[in-house]
Amino acid sequence: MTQLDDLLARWAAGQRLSQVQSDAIRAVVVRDGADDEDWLDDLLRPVTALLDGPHNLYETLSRGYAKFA
Amino acid sequence: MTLSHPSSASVFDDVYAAHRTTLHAYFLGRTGDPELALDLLQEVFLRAWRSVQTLAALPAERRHFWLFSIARNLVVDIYRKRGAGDAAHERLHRLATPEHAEAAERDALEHEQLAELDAAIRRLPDELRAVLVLQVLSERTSTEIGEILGRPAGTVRYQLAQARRRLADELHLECEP
Repeated sequence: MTQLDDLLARWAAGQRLSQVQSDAIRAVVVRDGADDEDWLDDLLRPVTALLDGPHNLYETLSRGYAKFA
Repeated sequence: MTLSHPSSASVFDDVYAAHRTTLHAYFLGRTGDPELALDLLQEVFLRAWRSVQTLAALPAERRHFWLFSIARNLVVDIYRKRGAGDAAHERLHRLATPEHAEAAERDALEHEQLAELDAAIRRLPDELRAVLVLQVLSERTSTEIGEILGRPAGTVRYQLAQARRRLADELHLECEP
């Protein structure tokens, strides 16, 4: 191993993604991702309520689409 | 859509475990900025989490193409927002501050050498720094680095040799070609 290789190996040891950093990032991603899911569900709730509601709009739209398909 | 479904979480964890090290090396190599590299790593995996169903539908060997296309776009956005000139100037400014020089003087010889190497790596042109950091941190082959950066393996090998030669010359170290 040359002097440069040796120095690069020691530099890399201090720069690599640590387990603590890795765990912290995963935790933030999963937490923020879950927030996004709630946000999207909230946004879509009026639409899903219409589709699944008492008038069964989903069936009506599906039948209409099937005619043209 | 349920992102918390076990299979989705399992796909995400597989992707995270398989690619976090290389993506981190990629971001560090492209930006030369450890803090920014961590921020970008978090952002790319946040996008992966949001698109976990898309990732789950891809064969495992195709997932890294998806991830690295996002990663490349994030780096381009960063350069566009900050301006490549500003970023380079900022890096040089950070390295040229009196505090940095004083800290290096106070440190032991090993720390001083590492600080000099770190500064020299940051001063490398972007295309050389990216291949060097990917090789040193993620231990990828020239072919794999070429796939990640969109360069032929021969170009990667040439750039690696160039990067190493520059570092060795600057730090007065021996280096095999």
